[in-house]
Order: sequence, then C-alpha cells, then structure tokens
Amino acid sequence: MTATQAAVGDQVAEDPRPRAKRRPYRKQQILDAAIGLFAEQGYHATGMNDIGAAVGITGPGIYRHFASKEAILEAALEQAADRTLAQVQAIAEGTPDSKDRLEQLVAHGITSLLENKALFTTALNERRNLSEAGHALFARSQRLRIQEWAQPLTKLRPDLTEAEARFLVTITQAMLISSARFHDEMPEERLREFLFNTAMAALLSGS
Amino acid sequence: MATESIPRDSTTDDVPESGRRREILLAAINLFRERGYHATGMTDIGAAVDLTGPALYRHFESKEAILETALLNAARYMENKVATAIDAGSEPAETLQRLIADLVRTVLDYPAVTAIAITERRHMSDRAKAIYDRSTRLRAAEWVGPLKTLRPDLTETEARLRVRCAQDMLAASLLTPSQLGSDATGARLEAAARAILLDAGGRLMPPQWPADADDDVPLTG
Repeated sequence: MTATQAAVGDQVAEDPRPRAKRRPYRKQQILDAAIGLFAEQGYHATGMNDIGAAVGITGPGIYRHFASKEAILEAALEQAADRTLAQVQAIAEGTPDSKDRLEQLVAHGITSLLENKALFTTALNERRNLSEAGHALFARSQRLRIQEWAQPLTKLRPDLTEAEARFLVTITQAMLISSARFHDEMPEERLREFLFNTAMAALLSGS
Repeated sequence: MATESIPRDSTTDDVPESGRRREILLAAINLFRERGYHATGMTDIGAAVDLTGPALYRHFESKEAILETALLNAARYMENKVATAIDAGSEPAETLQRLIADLVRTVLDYPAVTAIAITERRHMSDRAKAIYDRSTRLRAAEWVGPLKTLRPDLTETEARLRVRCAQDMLAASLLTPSQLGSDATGARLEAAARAILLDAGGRLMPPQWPADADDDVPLTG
C-alpha cells in the first residue's frame, strides 16, 4: 500500500456516512479540480470554497476528504510522484540499451508532463509552501527523476562527470516544465516531437 | 542564502532609484526568493533595512509595488542588453552567441530576481504583468531574427518556440541549485542554449510507452 492509499484509508475511516453513500470518484475529482485552480489563479488565491464549488460540494464537505488545502496539494503530488516513479522504473528495467533508455525516458517525461502540466507548474511555484513532509516528497521525487535520466546519459557520454550529467538533466527537465505552456502553439503530436528534439539537444550539448 | 545586487543599469540609466529605494528592492527580492512573496510581509522587508512600517510606505505604497518595480526594472535592464547586442550589428552567429552569453551572465549574476520572475510573476497587477510580458516577447523576438538567418529551414513558430525553450531553460535552471562551479555552470548553460536553438531536430520519437493502465482507478475504493 502506498502512503497515499494509507492517508486515504485514514480519511475514509473517519467518514461518518454509510459506505454506500460514499462516492469513490469524489476524492479524485477534488484533486483534479484543485490542481486546475491552483495553476490558473494561484495556490494562495484559491480557497477551499472555490475547490468545493468546482466539484459541486460545499466548503465543509471538502473537509471530509481533505484536512486542508495543503493536504490536497500534497496528495496530488504524491499520487503523481508514485505513478511517475513506477513508470520510469519499468522503462529503466525494460530498456537495457543506454540510448534507447534515455530516449524512452525523455519521451515518457514529455507525455507525463503534458498530462500533468497544471500539477507540475503548481509544484514548481509553490514548493516553498509545502509542509516539511511535502517538501521532502517533492525533493525526493525530483532527485529520483533526475537520477533515472542521468544514469543512461553518463553511460552515453563518458565526457561528463556525474555532476555534469545531473546538471544537464536538471536544466532539461526544468525547460520541459516551463514549456508545458506551449500547448496551444502547436498540435500535440508536433509539440511532443518538438520538445523531444529540444530536450535531446540539451542533454547531448557541449560534447 | 547569498544575497545579490539588483541590475546596476536599472539604477544608473533610465530607472533612477535612490539609495534607500534600491536597498529596499534588494532586501525584498532576496526575501521573496527565500520565503516566497506571499509569506513575506512589509514588516519583514522593513526590518531587513531598518525601517518602520510608515517609513517604508513613504518609498513604496505596497508590497505589490515593490515586486512590480523590481521585475520591471529587471525587464528593462535585459531589454537594454539585447538592444546593445543587436545594435552592434555583428554577423548573425556572433549576435546570437552574444545574446546567449549576456542572458547567461544576467541569470547567474542576478539569480534572485530571475527566479522570482518565474515563481512570483502572477502576483503582479494585470497592468504590470502586461508590460512585463510584452518585454519578454520583445526580447524573444530579437533572438528569432539571427536564428532564422542561421536556420532558414525552421518555420516561424518553431524558431520562436526554440527561443522560448532556450530562454526558459536558462531562467528555470536557477530553481534547482547547481552543483557545478559558476564558470562550469555558465559554459554548460551556454552550450545547452546553443544546442536547443541550432542543433535540435531530426530525431524520431521512440514509440510511446504503454499508457498507465491504472489511470482511471479512483483513489478510494
């Protein structure tokens, strides 16, 4: 069981309503709506009431699912981090060749970024506002994502020290996160191709 | 955390700031970067420069005014640098190289103001945001000219987005501290920006990794 599920389990245990009345999709709806609002109007400007309104429940109703706004942001981050990490590790295990592995990871990073752009933007802008636990979670998942790309990159480019490889990965991932805003500039397929090429160019730069 | 100065030209050239205003801007920029705009109060800014509330408000009417002044000064500083590079009238390759090097230098010299331009931009008023964004677009457009001369095969959109990718990469590189020394960081950033602008292309994306089968499973259940 992941930590998210454990946290969710605790919340459900406290839910006073009979089991049949609970709506299993509610929690996910709240997370999705909140992340959209955070990215749109900022974390601080978004109140629990706004989030409630977006999914059609009253402010107090939200508190049955999440103790605070911070808890919503952290649950969303944790969910995305768990999912991404599982996928990244599956790619790493299934792709022994360094070049193939790096390309697969970059392609996966772009797909997951375009799917979660609101969350990534919020995490990047608001990470100072996370609790210590949330901060640690964000930092850990960022470190792991960087490490997974840096491994095949170091194999592919013996000219780089590990610190240099990690630096190139860090700036490439930062670039990808900033460029999630380009989604209305190009059709999605072309955008993916474009970002893949700029990311690979950055990773292979300076050799 | 290391503190920084604010771009010098913004105080000596066309945006004159008195010594006191300058000190306040400086202190505020560093506080915004360390704690975030929202968590920083006027009282904190005042305390950092030994001013009480009322005295601080004689210089700036609000926290928002401080943020806007700092970011708009920085935008003007960068615009001036771009104009100087373009006016030098060098060959496109040399111009582009200088534009990249100038931006890398600015980012490394003024990390706090560059970082808050990303993380705190949306706290500006709509009017200030419009001015700031216009400046960003203008600076991007100035890079597109030499790039298109060097890479006539790129479409207008692609050239423009490459420029934004390169510029965003340089700014966003600051959000995670670099483990390399400052010279090595600068050289790596310049090379990466050049590669994004000039070398990218020609790679086929690998077939998409199977979509996550768990995507639609609700959290509870």
